Amino acid sequence: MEIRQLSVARPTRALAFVATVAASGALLPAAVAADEQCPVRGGTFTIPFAPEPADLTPGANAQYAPSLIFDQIYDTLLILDRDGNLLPGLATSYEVSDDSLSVTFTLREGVMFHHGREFEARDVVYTFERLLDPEFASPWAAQLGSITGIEALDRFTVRMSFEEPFAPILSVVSTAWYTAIVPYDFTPENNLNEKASGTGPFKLVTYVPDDHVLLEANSDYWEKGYPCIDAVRFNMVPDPQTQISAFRQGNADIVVLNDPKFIPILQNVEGARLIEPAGAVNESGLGINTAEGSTADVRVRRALSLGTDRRGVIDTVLFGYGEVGTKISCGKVPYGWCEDADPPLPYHDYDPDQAKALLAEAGYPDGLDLTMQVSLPLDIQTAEILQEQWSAIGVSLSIEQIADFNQQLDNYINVKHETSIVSLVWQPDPHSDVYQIYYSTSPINLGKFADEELDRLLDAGKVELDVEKRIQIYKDVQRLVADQVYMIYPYTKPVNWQYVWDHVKNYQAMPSGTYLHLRYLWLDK
Amino acid sequence: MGRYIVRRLLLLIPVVLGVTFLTFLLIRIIPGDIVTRMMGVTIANNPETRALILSELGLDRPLLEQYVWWLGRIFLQGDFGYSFIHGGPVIDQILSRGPVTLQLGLMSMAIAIAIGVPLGVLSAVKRGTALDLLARIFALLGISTPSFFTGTLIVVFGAIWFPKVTTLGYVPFTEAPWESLSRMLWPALALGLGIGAIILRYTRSSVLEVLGEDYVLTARAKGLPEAAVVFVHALKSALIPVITAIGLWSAFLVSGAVILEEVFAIPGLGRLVLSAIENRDYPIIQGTVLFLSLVVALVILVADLLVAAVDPRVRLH
Repeated sequence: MEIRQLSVARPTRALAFVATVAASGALLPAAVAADEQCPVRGGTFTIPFAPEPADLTPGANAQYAPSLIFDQIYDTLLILDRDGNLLPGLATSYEVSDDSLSVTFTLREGVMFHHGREFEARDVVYTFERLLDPEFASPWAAQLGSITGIEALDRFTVRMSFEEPFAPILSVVSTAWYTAIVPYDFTPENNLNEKASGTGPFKLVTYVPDDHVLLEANSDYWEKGYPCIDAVRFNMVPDPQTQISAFRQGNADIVVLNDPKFIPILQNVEGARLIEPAGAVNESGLGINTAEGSTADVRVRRALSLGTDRRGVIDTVLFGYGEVGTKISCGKVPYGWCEDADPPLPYHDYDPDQAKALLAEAGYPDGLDLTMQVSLPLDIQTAEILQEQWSAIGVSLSIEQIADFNQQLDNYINVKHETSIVSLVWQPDPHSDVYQIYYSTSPINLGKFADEELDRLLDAGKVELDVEKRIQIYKDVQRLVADQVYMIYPYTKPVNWQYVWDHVKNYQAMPSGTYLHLRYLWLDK
Repeated sequence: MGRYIVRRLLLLIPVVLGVTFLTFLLIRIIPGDIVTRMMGVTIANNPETRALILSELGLDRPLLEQYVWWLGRIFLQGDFGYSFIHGGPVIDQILSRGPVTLQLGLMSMAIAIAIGVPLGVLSAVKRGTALDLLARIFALLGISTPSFFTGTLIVVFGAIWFPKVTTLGYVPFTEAPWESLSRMLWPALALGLGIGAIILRYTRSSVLEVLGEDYVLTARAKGLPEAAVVFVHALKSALIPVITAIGLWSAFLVSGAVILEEVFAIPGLGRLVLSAIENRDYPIIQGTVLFLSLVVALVILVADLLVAAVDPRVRLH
């Protein structure tokens, strides 16, 4: 049990997550005799994978796909489990200073890098200084907030200091996408697509672009006895239909569906089972231009929100595989707004009559015309449903399909739209989730809204270390956004749906869509 | 003949220059930008970091200068540049992917010719019969069905009806020849059927035309058996336009390969270009398109030379 013991130094003021460490055993099977951990050892687990990861260098780019692979090769200081709990990773404990301006991590001893050297504090210092180095230009430097420095206190202790308290730091150091720990003596002189060294459960064997990434088990992994399998192979298969065929032909142990329309295809395939999704954390975000045009009037925006039958969108676009949500949806425990448990949000429930009344009050008794920009398939379908729903309240919506997602992104950043739908990316902390899209001076504020009260709440959430208070802050944020209808969230859904064959045992899906459980699964064949 | 070849080779220069310049411009005109792609929206909107990245990639210089610089390094130093995304040499990527697409192309063409030429001849000789009708229906279907559709049908229904047959992925010929051929058969079939249908139509009309010529009439009048008339006398001249068509349609093969490599998860040049376009990896796109346009131009040239070898009239023009 010892390796899972995370000592929370100040449990009453633990950062970010409630870190109910006592319950943490739920995620990881106890370290017991090898056969009980892995009733069958060996085998290769094959995953059809898209999109092309292109570059497997941690911290170098903002793409999500590579992070799913270096999750296996590298470790993080802490680990975020399926339920949002913090577990020990390369750090066995952490302590927050009384003034909340520094966090000290005690590191795990005896962990070996794949190139054969013991992991130590210097590697952590190197990892973070590299991310902060302007020459390296990492997109994640901003995720480290007001960090002023990181120093090694001794061989197995590091301290991070901040200018002002920075609540999200613990979830940031739990996310390999941002802060995978890389060795100081290996990373600079190697092309990490060819040769990599981390402390993770798997080692990179080869990466053949557009073909496959092959990883082999790290027999020295610090979680003794894991991984159970010998190797993981990510086969690059760009087309979702082809991925399903690869699965059905037995050329893959798992298939990951991003669109629920594929679920019926696999539903009745004998021997295949759907892994319980880890919660709906992926929102469809409808941005509204609040600076100019008819939508600058809050009554019009409220009418649009009231005229949106969210359940109807979920039933048609997602075949029911989604939830009514807002930006921080219910799956994002403990901060999320849950339809069943929380008080209802203003202007959130479908009410076409009130919507029409509001439009009339705003000076549009005969309705109005709006355009909506979309580019991705699910967003296009959502727009088509909204077109129909909104016509009932007198809004005539014309859909402007943008051929290229990047172009739509450029438009949305610069608010060259009346309304625009984009699927938003999951982030591990409520601060990183909403700050950038809601804060008035943020470069990617989706609707050009500037709300002093909203800014104040967002600033408070960034520095508030008391979890209960922080939960309240983010619920207030969501209430305010719903009241002013700065954005509409037609639905929220799991990141993906995963089917595996019955021979795949002890596998779980993660809310972020990462494959954390590859290290624990075993193949019964 | 020598002068003809030289003239044709010289004509290649403006063609290739034109293609590369158009590609160079087009990928810069299409929306979406490399910095956003690599770094996410936050960094892409930070002017300082943005400028730093653009200058590192050489994208801060005037367009024409970038083009001349890129072309100059290829022709003077044989240097195709380096990927923006992973930093590897472009030429390595092209050379490692080339054989994959070549295998797909050769197998598709072999299938296309094996279907198109005999069926075309048969259809012409048996003109008006049920066989001719069937061949023509096949040709119509083959031409009007896009290869990605045929490919998707093979992928989807192959997996349902023949779950034991692997239709996807790629194994190098040098590693496991039989496995390599049997997997590549499916995408080659999807691509080859369409081109086979086109070749069938060319062959049919060309054979029909030749069969009406005076010298064929003479051959018949001499009392030669029909087989000898068709295969010895008619076919030789009937195949001239077919060879030209095969040359031209090899260009179609390249565009078909791009899509089918995506559908069948084959790591060839088509996938390389598609991922590179997705990532806005300019050096890879430019290098691969240059390489492909050279190959297509050369294939068409070889087809024309074959025609010239068979038909002396061509050389005079």
